[in-house]
Amino acid sequence: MSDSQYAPDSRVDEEALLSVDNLQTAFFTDKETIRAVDGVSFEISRGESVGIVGESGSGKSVTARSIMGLVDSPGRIVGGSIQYKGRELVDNTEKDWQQIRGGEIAMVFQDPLSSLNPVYTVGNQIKESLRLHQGMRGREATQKAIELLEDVGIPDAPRRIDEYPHQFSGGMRQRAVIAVALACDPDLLICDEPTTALDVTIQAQILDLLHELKEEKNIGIMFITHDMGVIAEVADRVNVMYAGELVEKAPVDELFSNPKHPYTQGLLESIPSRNERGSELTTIEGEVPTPKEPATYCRFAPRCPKAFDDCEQVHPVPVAVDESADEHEAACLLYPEDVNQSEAVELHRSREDATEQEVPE
Amino acid sequence: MTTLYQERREDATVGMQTGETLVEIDGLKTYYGGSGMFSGKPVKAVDDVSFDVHRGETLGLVGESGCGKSTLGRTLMQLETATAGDVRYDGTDITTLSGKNLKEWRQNVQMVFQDPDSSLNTRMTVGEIIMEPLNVHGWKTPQKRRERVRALLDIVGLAEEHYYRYPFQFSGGQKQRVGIARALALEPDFLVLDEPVSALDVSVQAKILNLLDDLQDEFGLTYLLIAHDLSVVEHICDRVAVMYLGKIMEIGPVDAIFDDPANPYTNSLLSAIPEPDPTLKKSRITLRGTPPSPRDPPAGCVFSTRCPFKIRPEKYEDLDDDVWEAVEVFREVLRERSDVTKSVSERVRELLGMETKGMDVDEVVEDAFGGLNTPSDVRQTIDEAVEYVERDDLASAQETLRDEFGSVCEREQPEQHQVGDTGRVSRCHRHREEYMDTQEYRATHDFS
Repeated sequence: MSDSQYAPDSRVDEEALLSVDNLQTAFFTDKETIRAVDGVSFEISRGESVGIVGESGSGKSVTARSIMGLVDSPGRIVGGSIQYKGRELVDNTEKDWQQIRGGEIAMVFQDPLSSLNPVYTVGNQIKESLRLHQGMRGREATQKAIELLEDVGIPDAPRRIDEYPHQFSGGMRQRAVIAVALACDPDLLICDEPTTALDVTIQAQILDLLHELKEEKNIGIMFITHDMGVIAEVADRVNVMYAGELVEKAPVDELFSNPKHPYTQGLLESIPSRNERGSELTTIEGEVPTPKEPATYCRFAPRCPKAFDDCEQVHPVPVAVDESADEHEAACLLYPEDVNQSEAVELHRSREDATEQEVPE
Repeated sequence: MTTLYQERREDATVGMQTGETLVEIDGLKTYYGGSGMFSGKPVKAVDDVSFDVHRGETLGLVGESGCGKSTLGRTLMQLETATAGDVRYDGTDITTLSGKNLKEWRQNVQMVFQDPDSSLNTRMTVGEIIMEPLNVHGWKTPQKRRERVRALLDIVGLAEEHYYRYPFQFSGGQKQRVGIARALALEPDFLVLDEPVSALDVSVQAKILNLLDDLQDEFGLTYLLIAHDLSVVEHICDRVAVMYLGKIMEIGPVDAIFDDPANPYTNSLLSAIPEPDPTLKKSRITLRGTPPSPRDPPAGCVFSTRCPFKIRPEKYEDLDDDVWEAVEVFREVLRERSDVTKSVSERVRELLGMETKGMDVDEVVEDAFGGLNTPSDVRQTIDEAVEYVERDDLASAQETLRDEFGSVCEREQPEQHQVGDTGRVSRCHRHREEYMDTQEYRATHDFS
C-alpha cells in the first residue's frame, strides 16, 4: 500500500488518529428501522486506549464494525463522519476499505478460535497477513512472524510457529490473533471483548500485553467490553453507551470516582465488588430498549430513578457536566450542574442534533 | 406461592441454624478414559476431593477453565460416574444408587446451566419447559401441574402470560429465570448452579443474583455455585472452594479467603481480578503460562509448575529473583516441548535415525538469561540441560533441572493444612513450620 495516501505520521501526532463525529448506523427491515448507532462522537489519539462500555444491545460492536467498514446489508451508515488521519472513511468504496482494514485499523474479536483458521498453522496465518499488507515472503516473512509471536509473549516461538490453532491454549490463541493483527502494522487496534472468553489469570496476561503494545508501538486502542473492571484497568478515557447513544464520556479516574449520568451510576453500583459482601445488589429496573424511532426524549428515562417530566419531552445532548470540567460530558438533562434545572433543560432543547430526525431509507 | 415449599421451609430454617452437613464428599475421583487395555493415561478431571456442603449455605467453587469444577458439579448430581470415592447426600451414598432409587433421589437435586440458549428447548413453550420435570416424575395431576408452573413463573419474576411463549421471545436474563423455575419445579433442597450468570450483562446479572438470594432465604435452599467470576462468588457465597487441576487447593469462609488468602494459587487468582477502581494500583501477580494437562499432572504439588511462591532449594534461597524467574521460564519451555505430540513424519525420521527438526534451544536460553548476571553453578546446570536437549533427550534435561532446582514442592504432594480457626483448609507445603508462609514470602519478594 502506498503510504503517501495517508498524512505523514508526524503531522498526525497533533490531531486525533480517529475522529468519529455524529455517526449513525441503522439497520432497515420491512417492519422497522433499528438505529443501532445513533449520533455517536468520540476521538482516539495515538498511544491512548479508549474504552467503550455498555450492556449487550447498546451498539458497541456496531460502532466498531462501522469504523472497519464491516456493516453489511440491511445495515448502513446513514449519517455522520469517521475521519481517520484526517481522511473521510464513510464514503469509501470496497477497494478503499481493503487498504484501511488490517494495514491501518486492525481488529481483535472475542472468540480466538473462530477468528483463526483451523487448517492452517499459526505461522501461515501470520505470514498471510504479512504478504498481503507488507509484501513479505519466504524466509523474511517467517523471521518476522517469529518476531511477532515473541512480541506477544509466546515462548519458544520458532517451534510454535508450525503448530495449529488447536495446539494452542485459549490465552495463547488470543495472543496469536493479536500477532496476526499486529503483522499488518496497524496504527489503530480495535479490540471487541478480547478477554471475555478467557480466565482471569489469562485475562491479566492479555491486558498486560495490550498495555505494553500501546506504550511500545504508540498505537491507539479502542477497547470494547461490558466488564467495568477491565475498563478500569486498560482504558485512559471511557465512553459509556446506552441504546445507540453515548451517554457519558470522561477520563477513567473521573468516571469511576465521579460518575454523573444516572445510567453510569447504576451500572457501577450493580457491580458485585462495589456492593457490600452478602448484601442485596443494586440493580437498574427494566431492560435496554431497541432504538427504533428518532430520539425526541431521553431513552434512559423509563428506567431512570431521577427522571422528571421534561425527560419525556426533550432529547438530552452531550454537555460538559459543569463549567470547570473540560473532558467530562454527559447527555442528561440534569447537567450542566452549575445552572438551574430549567436553564439546563432549555440548553438541551435549543441544541438540535441529527438523532432527533428520521433517518433516510 | 406461600404454599409452594411451605412444609419444608420450617425444617430448613432449623437445619441452617445447626449448620448440619447435607452433602459429604470423601475422596471423590472422576477420571475420563484410560480404562481400556490400549488407552493412554486417564484424564484426572477430579482427583481425590473431599469436602462438606452444609445445609442452607452457598458454597462457591472457583477455578480456571479445565480445572474440573463443572465435572465435580456434574458428579455430585450423578450426571457423571465417579471413578472412586463417596458422595453422601443426607447420609445415603449416591454413587451406588441406580434405577428407580436414583430417579427418586434426583428430585432432591437440580441444576441450572450456564447458557440458557442451549439448555432450553427452542421448540417447547416456557410452560412446557417448566412442566417437564413434573411430567417426568409423575407429579400429581395435569391440572395441579399447570397451577404449579404458573406459581413458579411468578416466583422467578416472570408473568403468567409468558406461559405460552417460546424461549426466543425472551432476553438472556429472562431465559435464565426460566431455567431457575424449571430447577425449582420439584422442590429440590440442593441446587448446583453452573456459571448461572456468566453469559449475562452486569445489570441483569445483579438481578439474577438477587433472585437466587431471595429464593434461598425463602425456601432454605443449599447452593453449590460454580463460577469463574470471583467477584460474584465473593458477593453471594458463604464459603468458597478454590480448585486447580482436579484438586481443592483451599476451602474456607468467604471473608477469610478473600481478605487473607493462604494458598499461593488463591493469592494469584485473587490478584488477577480487575478491580473496578482505576486509582487502586495493586500489585498484580501475573501467572506464567497455562495449567498443565490433567492427563499428566505434576508429580508433586499440582500448582508447582506455575507457582510464584514455590519453595526454593536451600542453596538458591538468596538467588536473584530475575535469575530464578529465568530458570522457571526455561523449564516451562522444555515442559511445553515435551507435551507436543510429534507428527508422524517426525517420528519416522526419528526411528530411521535421521536428523529431526532439531532441538535448538540457544535462542530460548539467550532470551531467558540474556543480560542477567547468572551465577556459575546455575549456568553449569543450564548448560548441562542444553546439552541433553541438543541430543534430543528432553526427559534427561528436565530431570537434571528438577534435581538441581526442584524442592519439596515438586517431589511431594502437599497435605491439607488447617489455617486459622475458621475451619479453613489449604493444600500447600508453605504451611509447614519449616518454611516461610505465603504472605510473608509475598511481602519480602517483588512481584511487579
